[in-house]
Amino acid sequence: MSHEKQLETEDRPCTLRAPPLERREQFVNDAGNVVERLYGPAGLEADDFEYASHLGNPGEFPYTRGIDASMYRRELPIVSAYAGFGTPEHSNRRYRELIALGVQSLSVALDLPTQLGFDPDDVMAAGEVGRMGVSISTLRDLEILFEGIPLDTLNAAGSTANAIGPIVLAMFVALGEKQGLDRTRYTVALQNDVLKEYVARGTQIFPAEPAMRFAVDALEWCVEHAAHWIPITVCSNHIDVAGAGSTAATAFTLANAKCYIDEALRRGLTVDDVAPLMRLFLNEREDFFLAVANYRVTRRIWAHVMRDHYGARDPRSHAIRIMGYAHGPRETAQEPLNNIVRITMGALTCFLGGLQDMRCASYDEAMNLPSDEAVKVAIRTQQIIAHEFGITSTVDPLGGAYYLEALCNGMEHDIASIMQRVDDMGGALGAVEHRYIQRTISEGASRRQRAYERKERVSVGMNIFPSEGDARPQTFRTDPGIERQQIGRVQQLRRERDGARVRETISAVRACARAGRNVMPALIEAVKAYATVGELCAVLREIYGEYEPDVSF
Amino acid sequence: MASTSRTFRSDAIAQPERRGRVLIAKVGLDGHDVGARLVARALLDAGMEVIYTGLRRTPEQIVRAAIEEDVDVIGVSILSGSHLAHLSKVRRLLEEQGASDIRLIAGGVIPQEDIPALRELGVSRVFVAGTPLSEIAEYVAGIVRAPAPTQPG
Amino acid sequence: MAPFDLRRIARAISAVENGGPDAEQVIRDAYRLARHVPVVGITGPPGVGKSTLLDGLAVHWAERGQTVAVLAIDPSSPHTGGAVLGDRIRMDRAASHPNVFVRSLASRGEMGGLASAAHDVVMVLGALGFDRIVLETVGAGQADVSVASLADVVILVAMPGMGDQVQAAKAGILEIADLYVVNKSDRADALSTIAHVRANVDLIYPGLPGRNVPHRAKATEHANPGLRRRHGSAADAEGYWRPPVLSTCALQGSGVSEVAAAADDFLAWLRETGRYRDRLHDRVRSQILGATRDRLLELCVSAAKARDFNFDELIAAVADGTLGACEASERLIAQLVPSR
Repeated sequence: MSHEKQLETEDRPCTLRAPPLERREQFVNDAGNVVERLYGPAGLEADDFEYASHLGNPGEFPYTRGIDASMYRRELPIVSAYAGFGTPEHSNRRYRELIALGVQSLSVALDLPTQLGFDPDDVMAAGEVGRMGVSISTLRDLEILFEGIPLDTLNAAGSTANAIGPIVLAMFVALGEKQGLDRTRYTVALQNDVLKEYVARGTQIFPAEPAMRFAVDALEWCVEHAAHWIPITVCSNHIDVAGAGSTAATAFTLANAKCYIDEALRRGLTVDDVAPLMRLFLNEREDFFLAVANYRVTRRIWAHVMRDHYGARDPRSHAIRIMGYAHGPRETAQEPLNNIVRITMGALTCFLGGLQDMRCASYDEAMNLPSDEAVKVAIRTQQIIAHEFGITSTVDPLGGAYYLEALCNGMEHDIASIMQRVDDMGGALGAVEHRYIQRTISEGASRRQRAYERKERVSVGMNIFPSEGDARPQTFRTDPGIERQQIGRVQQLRRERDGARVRETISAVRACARAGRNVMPALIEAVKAYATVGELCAVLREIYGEYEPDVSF
Repeated sequence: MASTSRTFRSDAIAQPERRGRVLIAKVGLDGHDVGARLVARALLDAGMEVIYTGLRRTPEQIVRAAIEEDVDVIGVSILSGSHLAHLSKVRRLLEEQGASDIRLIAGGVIPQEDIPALRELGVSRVFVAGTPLSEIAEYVAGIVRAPAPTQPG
Repeated sequence: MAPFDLRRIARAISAVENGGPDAEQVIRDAYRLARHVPVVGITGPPGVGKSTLLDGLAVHWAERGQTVAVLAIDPSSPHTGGAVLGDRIRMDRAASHPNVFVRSLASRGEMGGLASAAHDVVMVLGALGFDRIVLETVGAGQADVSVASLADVVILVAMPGMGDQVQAAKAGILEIADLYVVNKSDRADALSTIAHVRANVDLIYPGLPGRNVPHRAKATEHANPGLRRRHGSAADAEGYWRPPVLSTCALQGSGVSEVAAAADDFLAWLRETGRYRDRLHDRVRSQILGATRDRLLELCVSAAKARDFNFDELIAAVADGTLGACEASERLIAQLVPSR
């Protein structure tokens, strides 16, 4: 209840005079909730707010205020970059520039053919090689990509590979060996969250259930062989952006995480084996305070789900790491410099929300790949917030703010009811099949579109204060020769490698997959023999099947 | 024998002379179909029949579908930057198969500076991200009302 | 390249859908030619996999050298008249096969799962030379009877976990299907669903799945004359048909050729027993009645408009209770036939 209402209901004359006419009849946030004029202690009282159970100190259950006691006083959020384009050589040069600018963690952006399991010379890859990311079809490409970048000089190396996640994991294992590194010396962090592809990102290859089990192969392998790696980062970003809004997106994300965990438990692992290896990638880009609330309340919910639902005992299972991505409400092509402000606001929410790892978008990202200047601004944005203005001098500075905690409490309630509905449908896979997630997304997208057209949702420079003919930054162009070069390279490699060894290892992958065993060891041998992504996916499609598209509206 | 008594039976939405048919396609490999689906919805709301082809269509599949479905307009959504290559292929295939009267429009992530080239190769309109859906629906309705002269054969 | 002119066929279908003088000529010519080709109708609730099964069936026949026309029918919005037609998405293989032509039709106000122009489109496709037509209808799970009036073979598709939807043998469903398919047979509860459907069929049909010779042992007639007309009964000299219950996993392609074979067997049985002709006549009867009904209403309405009949007043009177609905209807008819 708002402070004002509280004052009115008590038997005391309301000293607040009727306010002057406000700019809007109602202020509503992206979650569809009304935002009150004022929040105060009465609201928290109505929620039965109690410091120890709702917040706890940082580093203590339920970790609302942070996963460890010192947070940024000890270690600032990692400066992360998601980058890659064209050929591995191009991207290698870019990576070195990024590292020189201060990037600590690299996530390889893969082009669409790679993400979808097509080699550069596949007919489906035509026109797409090296566009949305770097073209990687074999271990050789990855070796070139990280030439002169030892994996142990990075905080983490990884990729947003999803459907092909375990294949890329195998490549990084092989790469580490090529670089002469013991696995304990470096960290691989993958996205490998295939469940969200079916509803929000669209780069799925196989049907949902076998794809989910394939993803858990990577998780299971890491538990045994590299327990400090991050084989799955469960994402809400794409689901939110597609239309669901951050509250629903977080609920679906947690449901997806439970799906992976349940599969691991089915295989005989314990929750304390797997939960510490997982990470979340959360997002809220419409509303500043909703964002901060989202990050904090998710930690609280995760802690409870792990301890109370799964019976996890290890604090590392309870305290979930979160990474973020600051991109502002909607990067726009008009007045792109405005995006710097939006991205800054988004970055600030990551800091105030206590995230471990983050990247800032580049202001020209709406128009394909970012320019050098935009990338630098992005990195500097994170660095400025980290080092200037005293934001990182204390832990969870907004903790206890009436509005923030009210938002957290409200969100927790909403997330819980959505998670319950998903459970009733049989979990994440059931919710996808019942189209619950897809409907939530498409209804949310329609709502946002309508709100945008009615100017209830605004974008400065677009639907309010529009301007004409802004100086546009040069759009980054990829060189058409890239596709030719990558095609030539993969075809040459196929000629040069030990064909018999490749066939042998691919057969082993097939046998493993068919027998329902963990395919990671076989994948590692195959990538070391320079089997291509296309070849491996072709085998897996045989066994797992091919994704069947969705027709409903 | 499409019965005009439908006008009387249903609540008299003015039945147009011709019911517009539109193919909404995603070409290339990108998987973001939220925009395409919103446009399809908007066209449905405007009374048109929308054939939605789904993700990852090749230009060949799109053109064949457009001809079989006898559409007035093909709307292509591309977010992966491969618009010039794919759209010129679609246009070329339409010409080759005697369907040059089918209009081609595009939307998605398309830089302003590529629009003249796209218009040149035969894309009638490019709708940048953020265009109100009503504008797109009106444009398509305009094409349906005054179709281009048909090609012989 | 397709062995037929895609544009020409597509244009002909559009003309039939939209009506007009050109269409009338095309339709008249098609009926005069009277080239009746087998029509396979696939119906069932949403989500069971009709389109995927259709994809498999169309390709099955196309691979054997038949030219197949596929009609995928989806409902039009009752509010806007528009439609989103997305069945093509699941028919990749059929849509790329040179022997297959795929067209999506919106129902355009027609109830019962078909499109208003469906009968005429089917005739025109026959006239254009296709060997076979396969159509997929909306199939709301309840009586989807109109597909039975157009298709020679009606395949009803169900899937496991639908519970009582298959049980909707209330009136419609069990009266019209010639073949039952339980799709998604890889699901855990597939076997029990198949058993369930077979049990339902058991209640109505004696004998074995498929063709049955006449026999005495259970010489019961179908209580339902419609069913008797479609499938015969144990007392009939030509024997009778008991709808088989088959299982498929359309996504993996298993069971599809068995469905195709069963459909072809039913078509052959229809011809051999002379029931094909009955089917054709039934189809034409329902088409004539339907067209007449529509035309009469149309004539009534235009007559009423020509005489400045106040329809709103009539509506208000019935709503207020001063006039009964039947009386109102008589008044409307009286516009057309003033002597009544």
